[in-house]
Amino acid sequence: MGHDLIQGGDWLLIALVMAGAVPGMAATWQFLLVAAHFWRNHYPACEPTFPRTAILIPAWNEAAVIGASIDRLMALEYPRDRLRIFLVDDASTDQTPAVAKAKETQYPGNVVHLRRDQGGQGKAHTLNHGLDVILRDDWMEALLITDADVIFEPDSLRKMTRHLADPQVGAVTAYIKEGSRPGNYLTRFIGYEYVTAQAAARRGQNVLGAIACLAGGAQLHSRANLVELGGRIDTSSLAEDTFTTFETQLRGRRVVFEPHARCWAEEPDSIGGLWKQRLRWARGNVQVTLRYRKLWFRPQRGHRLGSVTFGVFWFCLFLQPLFMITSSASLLGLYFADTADAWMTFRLLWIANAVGYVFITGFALLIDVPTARHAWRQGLMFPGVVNVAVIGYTCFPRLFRDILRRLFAVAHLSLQAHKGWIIIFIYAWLSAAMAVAYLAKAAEPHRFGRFISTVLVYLVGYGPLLCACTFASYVKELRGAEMKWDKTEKTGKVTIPT
Amino acid sequence: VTAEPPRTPAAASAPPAVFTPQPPEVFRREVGQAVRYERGLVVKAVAMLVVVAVIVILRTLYFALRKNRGYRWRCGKAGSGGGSSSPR
Repeated sequence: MGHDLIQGGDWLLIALVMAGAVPGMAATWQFLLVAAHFWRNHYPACEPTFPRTAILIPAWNEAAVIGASIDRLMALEYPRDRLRIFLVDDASTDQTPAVAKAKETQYPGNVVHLRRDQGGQGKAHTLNHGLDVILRDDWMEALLITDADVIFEPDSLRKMTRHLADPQVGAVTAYIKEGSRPGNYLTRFIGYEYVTAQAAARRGQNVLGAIACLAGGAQLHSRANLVELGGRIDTSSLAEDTFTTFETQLRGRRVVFEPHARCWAEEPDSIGGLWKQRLRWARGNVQVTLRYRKLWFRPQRGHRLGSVTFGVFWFCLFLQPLFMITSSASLLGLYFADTADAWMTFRLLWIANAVGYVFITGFALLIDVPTARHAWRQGLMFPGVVNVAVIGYTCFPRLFRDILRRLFAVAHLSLQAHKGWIIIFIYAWLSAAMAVAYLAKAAEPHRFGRFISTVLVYLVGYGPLLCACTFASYVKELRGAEMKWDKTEKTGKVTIPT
Repeated sequence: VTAEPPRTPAAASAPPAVFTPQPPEVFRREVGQAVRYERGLVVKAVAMLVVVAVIVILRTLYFALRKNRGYRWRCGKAGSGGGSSSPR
């Protein structure tokens, strides 16, 4: 009887350990959907359409980037008389107003400078200030919301507007790529991440018929959609773009991702900057998850946001830190209960992870070959050196055992004597990696911090760093911390690679 | 006849004042290119699945081979009396 109970407990622990493989399997499924984008896409409904488009740019102290962005927008392959740029200056204290005035003079009738005297309330308030002006007359037929640093490729806007020929489409989003050049290791990690999170994941979401988020820097809305949304952007959260995306789809309109409309943005080149940005996004996701709690896993007519597959994708990302912690805690529990079972489960878990890693990494690098040339090392090291080593061990155990023996021999250590500690370390690593990622963030501002944090990020991986951000967002939301709009600093390093 | 004014950097970056929308056949060709790219992704996905399958098969064969060899060695030792328990 007692033996049965222990076995029952073991099975529960084994199931909890294997839960650690669920996010990877969901990501693999999402990548498999990319292949179906050939059959299920919106291209048959496209027509050459050039609606009168207002481009809305919120700007706070963006003097370094705003001039070049406006020049690029005015160079779009789009009828000039159907393009107006509304720059909403959120009480900038730098040269932004002067640059905006100069551009207004340079492009009369095409650039409009709006100024808020009281700023700092956040992006959504700034956007609403511009929307109030734009919706006053009926000139605008489509609205492109973008950021001050985003550089659009010349054909990007017309590739987006062609989807608006279908009146069912409420909004279109483009593929934002990381464009800092020369950039550093972190911007390359972000570049690779955007291949997985945008070029791949959003194609998969196109196939599903439910888009999780319109990119904040490249979202095109039809006038009808904006009017139906009340002509306002949600100001109650830090994820105004995700709210807009959900509300559009809940009203029965379609949201389309256009992967061939490309634009380039400057992303943070320090862990501190990245942490601020991702914490804001992750807190926004917590707010979205709670606001739409009655939506998840409840399929309904008119939209696909309640579909089981979409729910699995959403929650696998949203709860990934909890999956990791549960998995490694259960693995340690199993180790102390039954060493052999723990070892077998660990190998099963990592065989599943290895399959996902090989497929996702290889396919992501093939989806966007130019980014792959720039960031293939970061793609391979996305899960971190330790996790990649574990994956290698899972695939080629004998080879790794030999390497380990040699390493320990060089260090004059007995592998056998430390075997227990090595196993505990590896079992705990899935969750410990997030703590080490936090250390990388904490170390960065100190002396030699840049070097130490770089080494730590490669060691733990960029994925666990993002998981640590997500975990921090849970804590902030639970504590009811103040919602601050921590703007990412832009320096104008973006170039479109030729 | 007036001389063309000197081109300032700003003027040089200014786009042409008139944009001619593409003829329908050019538009169709562009959409066709996008669809072809998406079709290429199917091939790439299949190629990656093949790579994963090859790794899984090789790994399985490797372990199966090691197990079988171990079994034969053990059989040899027990059956013929002349076998060795070690591959060497």
